[in-house]
Amino acid sequence: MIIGEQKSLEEIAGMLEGQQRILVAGCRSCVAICLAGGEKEVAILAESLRLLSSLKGRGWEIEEATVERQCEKEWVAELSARIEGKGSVLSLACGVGAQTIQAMYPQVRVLPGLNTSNMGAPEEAGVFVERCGGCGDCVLHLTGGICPIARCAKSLLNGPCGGSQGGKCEVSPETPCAWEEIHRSLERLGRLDLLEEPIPPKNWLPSRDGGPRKMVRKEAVLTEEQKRSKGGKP
Amino acid sequence: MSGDQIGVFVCSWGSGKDAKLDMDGLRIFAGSIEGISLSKRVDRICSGSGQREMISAIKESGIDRFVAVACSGRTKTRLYRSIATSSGLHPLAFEVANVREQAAYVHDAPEAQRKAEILIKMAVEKIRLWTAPPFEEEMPVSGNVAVVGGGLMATSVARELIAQGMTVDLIVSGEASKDLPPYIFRNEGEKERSVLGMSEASRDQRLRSHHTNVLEVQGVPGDFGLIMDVDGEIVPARCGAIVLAPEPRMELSRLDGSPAPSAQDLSAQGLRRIVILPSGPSSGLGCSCMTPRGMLYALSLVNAIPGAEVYLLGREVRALGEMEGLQRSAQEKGVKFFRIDSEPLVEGPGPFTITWKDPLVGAMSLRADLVLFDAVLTPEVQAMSKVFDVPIDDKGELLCIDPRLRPGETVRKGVFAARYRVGNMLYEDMAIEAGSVAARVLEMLSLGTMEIGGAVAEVDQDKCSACLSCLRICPYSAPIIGQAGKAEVRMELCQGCGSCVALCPSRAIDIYCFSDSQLIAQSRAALGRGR
Amino acid sequence: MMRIIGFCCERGPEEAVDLAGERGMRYQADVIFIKVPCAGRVDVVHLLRAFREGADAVLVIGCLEDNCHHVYGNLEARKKVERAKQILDEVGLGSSRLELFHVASNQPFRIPRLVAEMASRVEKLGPNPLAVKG
Repeated sequence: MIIGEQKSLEEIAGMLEGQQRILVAGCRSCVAICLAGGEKEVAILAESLRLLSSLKGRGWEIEEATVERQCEKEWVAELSARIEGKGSVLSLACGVGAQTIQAMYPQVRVLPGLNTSNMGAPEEAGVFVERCGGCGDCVLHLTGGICPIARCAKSLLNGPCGGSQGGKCEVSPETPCAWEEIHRSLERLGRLDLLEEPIPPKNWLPSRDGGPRKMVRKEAVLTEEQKRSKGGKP
Repeated sequence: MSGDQIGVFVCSWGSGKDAKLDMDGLRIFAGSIEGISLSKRVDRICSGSGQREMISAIKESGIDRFVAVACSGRTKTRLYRSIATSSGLHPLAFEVANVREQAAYVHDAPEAQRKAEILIKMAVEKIRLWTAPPFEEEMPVSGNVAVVGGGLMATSVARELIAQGMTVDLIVSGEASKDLPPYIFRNEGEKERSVLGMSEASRDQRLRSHHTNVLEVQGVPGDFGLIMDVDGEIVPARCGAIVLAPEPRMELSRLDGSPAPSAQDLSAQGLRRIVILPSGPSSGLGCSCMTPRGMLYALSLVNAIPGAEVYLLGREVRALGEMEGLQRSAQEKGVKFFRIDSEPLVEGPGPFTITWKDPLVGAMSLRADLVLFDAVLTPEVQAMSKVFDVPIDDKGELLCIDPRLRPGETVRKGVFAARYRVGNMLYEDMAIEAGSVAARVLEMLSLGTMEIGGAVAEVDQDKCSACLSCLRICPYSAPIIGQAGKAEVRMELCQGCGSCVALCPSRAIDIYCFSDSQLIAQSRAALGRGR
Repeated sequence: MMRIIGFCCERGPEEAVDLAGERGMRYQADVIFIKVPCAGRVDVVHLLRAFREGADAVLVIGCLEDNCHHVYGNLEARKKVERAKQILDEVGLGSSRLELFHVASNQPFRIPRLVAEMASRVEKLGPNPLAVKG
């Protein structure tokens, strides 16, 4: 899932400088699960901001709202009554959610409360680690199920590099060397032969380097006729 | 219920330091709070007449919940519940404002009065937001107990339960333990206690024994259904509680853990000098004493092997009751007993040298052809852990709640464990542990009914993100992911601690009787804020 | 007049509070105890809200470490209190206004001491600027 982390209270307070009526908007999806922007974190942040505002005389009026998924127009549409009259929305969803709110409410300033970071998973309760590089051209079948793009600091396709020491990446003694892990995994799978064929240079076009990606699933797209019979755009 | 039908009952008690409060003033104050339709003085709530007064007042007034302004409610839960029930209210529809221990006793006159008013306001705001929880005061429970295990611990537990009037399904998987003669002992002034072998136990009508495995546990604490496979047929056994009594391996073993050879094997091999040490080869439940098991083995050796030299080492001899005679017989037959205070050094094989420090004599050493351990080893509990859903702790034993707080209980409600403790677990200790665990089971089942529900947690399915936080934090594993893919708290396992509520990232869980809105309302009332 | 809120677990700590009364101990009337089923019930939101509503100090009282009836509710409380303390420092109220204590049911003498401790911290830091006047 998407992993994000809240910005510091200081940074958020800086963004809210001069604002008055603010809606803190959360999401029940990824950011709730990684404990960054669910209804609970919205409440904690809202209380913190209220304290700050009362103590420092900022004059903020803080309200809270949480939707099922902030990246879906239907759910963000449900916020219209809450956004009415607000000067800004502090989104605690991932960058996608924040942008969705901005797109749907172009007159209201949307501020990001989170730093959206990566695609990852909980290693254990409360510990979230990056796992997928989102490169658009998955090679997990060649690397024993370990992503070299996300988990190798250099995103090497034929590692390890000389910085791999004692199974750790030179970037940090806590970071495992992904290519060491890949070797071990292929060993356990009995497929070390896969390392004999080098992975060719990556085509980065399917990744972010090719511009913002768009994926179309034709069978789900409503035709113009369907849209018309539903009374305008859905 | 609207929550605006609240009654307040202000107790009046004797003179002395209690006279510090103006109880009538409190009655008037309570009556002035919004939504209070009845505010009344009652002469001694704890008295029969006081209770009758309250009950008739409640019935007449039509209130659906009340606040008692009185002394500490800690010892009076049953009292208030019975007042509520007798008045036709939900048994938990009340709150107590403790104006005695928390105001009159600890503050001076004007402050005590002011504090009492705040306590009343808090209690009113809390009960105003109270919603009736799922609650059954007297859910019938089965008086049958399933005891799982094939050894002396299991049969001892079974015996204790039967002696107290319960019936027992004794479920033994694999081999039942070897049938030792009944071992009877008595401490001075106490009644006789004994541990029984399987055949003795089986003779009691109230005990049904099954040589099989439990496949699955269904039902709820108080009414479990154990599914067993008996000769290819699926047989259910209904029971109110389950006692897990896994048998540890108490045996003599070689240094490598393999079973000790018999006296006949040893005599055939021509081995003469045998030393028996008290500790097990693996970590786990050590035993540092010389046991009847060891002494019986030593005797078998000297009887079978002419010229055998057998040595028993240990901190003390633990042979009680009838077994005491074993030490004398062993010594008469030439078995030597040596006292050791710490772990001896064993070098070898071929032949072995054992060295240790005797507290009186100094350095000692023995040469031996064979070294054996008289060990108590951690029982194998993997399968039990899985079927009964009881985790295994870091020592490899079934995870139990701290025995200082809740002896005999595992984290699974209704599932108890009779465990061997570190050290000298012998027959006497076994009988004591069995009695203790049986007592806890009786605590749960002897009334024939038990309470279920009350201040339990509940998940709002619409808000749940299925993030698994509650499943991970609950010490009792009460939450599960239900059919709808969202979390559900199993009411029968929830013990109402509220850790899941405090943690839930989507604020989807709340807890009855201590809800978020109630705590905030109390906080606001305490800080002088309006409703 | 000070306002000190004490979230008090219904097992050990509440018993200690009651006993303190029975034994004739005295403490400031400014403290008000709110019962919770376990210290682990206390939410960061409750703690911050209490300060927003004007509490000068907040105590959370749980059972002794290793003695939680619910196994580790008092550890859960510690995590929440630490988070709330951090926020209290960030907003400039002062983290020492909030504290977690571990008290056993047979330690009533500690109740007046804890109350006095929090009161003296309030005296050092000054009242909560958000307190209700009067």
